[in-house]
Amino acid sequence: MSVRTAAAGDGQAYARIVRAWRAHGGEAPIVLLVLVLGFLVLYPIGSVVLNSVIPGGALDSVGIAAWGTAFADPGLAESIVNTLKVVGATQAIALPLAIVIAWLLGRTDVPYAGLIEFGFWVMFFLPALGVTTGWLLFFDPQYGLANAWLVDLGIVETAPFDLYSFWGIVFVHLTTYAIAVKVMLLTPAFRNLDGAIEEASRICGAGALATLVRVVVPIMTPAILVVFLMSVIRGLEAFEIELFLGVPIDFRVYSTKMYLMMAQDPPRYAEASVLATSILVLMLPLIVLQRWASLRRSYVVLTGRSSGRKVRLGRWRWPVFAALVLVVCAISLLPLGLLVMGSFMTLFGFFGLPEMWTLDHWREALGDVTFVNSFQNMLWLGFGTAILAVLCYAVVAYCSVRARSRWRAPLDILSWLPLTIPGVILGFGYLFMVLQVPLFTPLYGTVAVMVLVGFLAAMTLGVQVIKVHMLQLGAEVEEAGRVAGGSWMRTFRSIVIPLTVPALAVVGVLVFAGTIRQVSTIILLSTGATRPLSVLQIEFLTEGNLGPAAVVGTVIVLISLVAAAVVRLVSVRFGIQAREG
Amino acid sequence: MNRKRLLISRRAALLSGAATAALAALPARAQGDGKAEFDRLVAAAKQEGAVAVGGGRDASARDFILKAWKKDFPDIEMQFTVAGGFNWPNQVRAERASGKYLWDVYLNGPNVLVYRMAQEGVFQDLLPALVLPDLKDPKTWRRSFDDMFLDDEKRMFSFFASVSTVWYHANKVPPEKVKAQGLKLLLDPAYQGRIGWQDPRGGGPGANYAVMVEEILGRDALKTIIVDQKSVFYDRQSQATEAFIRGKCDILLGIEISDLETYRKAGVKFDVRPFGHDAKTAHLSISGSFLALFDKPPHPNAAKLLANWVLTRDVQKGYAEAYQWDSNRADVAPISPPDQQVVAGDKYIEPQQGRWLKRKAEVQEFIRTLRPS
Repeated sequence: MSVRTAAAGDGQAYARIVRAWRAHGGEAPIVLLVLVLGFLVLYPIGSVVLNSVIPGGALDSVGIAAWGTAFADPGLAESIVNTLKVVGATQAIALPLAIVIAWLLGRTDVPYAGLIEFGFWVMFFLPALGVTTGWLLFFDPQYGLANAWLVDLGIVETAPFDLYSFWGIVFVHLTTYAIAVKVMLLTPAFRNLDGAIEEASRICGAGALATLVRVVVPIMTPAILVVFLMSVIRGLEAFEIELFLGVPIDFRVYSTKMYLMMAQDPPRYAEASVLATSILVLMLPLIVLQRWASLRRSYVVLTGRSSGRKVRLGRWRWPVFAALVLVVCAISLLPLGLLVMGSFMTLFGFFGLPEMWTLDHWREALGDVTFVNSFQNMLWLGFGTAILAVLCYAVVAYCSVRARSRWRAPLDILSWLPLTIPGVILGFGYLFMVLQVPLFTPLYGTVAVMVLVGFLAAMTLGVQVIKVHMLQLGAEVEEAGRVAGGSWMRTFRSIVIPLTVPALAVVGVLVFAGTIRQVSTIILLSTGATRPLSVLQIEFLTEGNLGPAAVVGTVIVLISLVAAAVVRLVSVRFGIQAREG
Repeated sequence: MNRKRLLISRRAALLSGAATAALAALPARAQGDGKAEFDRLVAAAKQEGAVAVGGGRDASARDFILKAWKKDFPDIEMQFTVAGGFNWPNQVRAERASGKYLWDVYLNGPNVLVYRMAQEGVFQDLLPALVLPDLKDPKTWRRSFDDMFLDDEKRMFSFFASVSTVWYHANKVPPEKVKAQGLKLLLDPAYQGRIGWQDPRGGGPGANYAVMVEEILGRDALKTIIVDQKSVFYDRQSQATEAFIRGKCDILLGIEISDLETYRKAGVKFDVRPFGHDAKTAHLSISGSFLALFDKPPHPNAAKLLANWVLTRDVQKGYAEAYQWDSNRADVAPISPPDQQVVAGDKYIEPQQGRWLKRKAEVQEFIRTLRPS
């Protein structure tokens, strides 16, 4: 081959590359995004599954034999059944209640509906452990005030309530996220319902309740289904409430069982992987169903032309208002008040002491090195995750909405997947990653790995909020930017981002608030040097140091409340909603 | 976090300050090269800036050690992590298998997994790290070095020893019955469901009581107490103690003595008493006083500094008061009241010692067959 021929061949190859780049090169950023995100999301899942079947790794006793030994353990199946029982009972109570409340707030003339709705936002933001600590003062079988009052009044002979029980666990779930998240998501959907449909039902002679049951709920079924499935998936993630209330009574759900398996001698990493894999398999139908329900988009009646005509409650208006206020106060303000009260008690739950109240817990906490370090870690974790989230979610959302690429669908699916990975499994997968893969070993014992996990845990909600906002922008604005000669990056930076700032701010605060109360995702990854306040609180609680736990809980609650107020204010001001799909 | 702890912490601060002052005031002849070596250690530790400690759950003791250290060495941060149960040793073993060496000092009770870590060479020899001459002098200590070191390699050092026994509510269990029957009272059906126990299947002190019961009453009795008597297991000793004080159980195996003091000083009314303090009713426990230095520590000088510092007289005194456990230092008076002190001449079992390790593991396995975890 002559030099000239070779040069010609090289030239043709170069031309081919240039043509290929021109044809597909614009996809490079989105391909890169899919690859990076795919690795971050899929690696922990793959790692958990692989560690249940392949021997070796930094963590010993891992292998396929684990499947046999794991399922020979009767506690494993029992933990899965217990998980389903808790989720089933919680949802069976929460769903009908939430539908009625959302309908009342969205479709009726109940007074101060916005204020009551905000109460449910507050409830959603409350950290589960703080609420649990508060409820202990009310429903502990030994010292709970509610029990004591009922016994003192002679209504019952022995304490009727016990928070350390199956129904105690269900109750705490109901008073934290289970009802609140549904009301938060369904109320705007009910509000957007075309009132003409209800009026037609009324004209046909149906009452308000019959209209709700026979007309409104069937129409709203797709939205209700999505919210329900999301709640079920979220319910399957439950960890800290069961760890604190369930373990003392030998009631184990799969997440606490996994956690305890790793705290045994020898640690049962393989069996824990088997359990995690089983749960992931069990979740597959839910994921498919939720995806189907989201994409089905039977929202034809949820038009933007809400008639504004609301159902008149008549003489029931104020009683309904009172009932709703009572619900909000009972399940948000009461445990909060109890939590704060507990932080000032000399001995948590010991009433009738000569000196029952003290500032010592606060004084000690604020001057305690461990508390201060954990507080700093919490801020690093919260802000680090929020900043990373805002930057990356914006790009993911933008590509999902605007990119004309075959990689858009995989990207969209990847942004949904983390919602379906229970927190403790995500943390477990990342524990494998940072201990087994030399490239990632330096991340172990750093806040960075917790930031990464927090980023993934919040991705679905964050990306969806930004996507909804970007969809409202309209493509013309960007096209104008392009016509003016701006690259897509320049357009994204100079036009899209500034217009999306309110949504990004909401997402940033949401992620911050969600991350600082996280326990399940980070408990396996935090060390003495990186432990945030939420992990410190679970340590205090499980050690029985309830006074200091109440102080830590109060601090997290206060920060969460501020975050809730910020999110609500920005959302209302700019009309941002966390919609499904 | 309460008045008692505040008082202790104030006292602790004074004591720890005094420790440094006392060290500085010691005649040069008495200290030999120790003072200069100690000063060099302090300077080097300051350069490192931190010490990572896996410590005990006891809140008073933790409070004391953190405050006293901060007072004496404000430039060296103590990163204290509760290293209880099996979770923490599992974590450390996994870390080290991945080449991550994150810990300097272990300062807690020894359980089966901690011993296994020691056998794997996780700890380094302690004696070469002790630069203060009096710490190596047998006269400084009430017990022999052979008794205080838990292992033959002399890496696991215990600096406390008190008797540990079963406790009961005197208003629910007649004291004369306890005196007459001793530990056999645990078999009395009258107390079915009323016996509390820090979970003996795990890494806490509950397992020591299981060994004690089996040694004194036999394996069948142990089974009876767990199965027929339906003993209630609590995850943590502090939880068990609180449940006991609140009256959830009448008899308790494994009490947190420092918590008892906290409740008493806060004005909680109770009359709880130990079953006894002789070798027929109690065992000898080092509690959470096991000190060891990790191999390949991230802060080697700070680790050595902590090992020397925690064994000085004044720190031992403050630590013992906070922990409510008797120091092995001969110049620190016992904290325990006379009716809870070691009976001279009695031969106690010591389930935390290395020689009891195999037996303890067997007993735990036996209990797991009775009540799977």
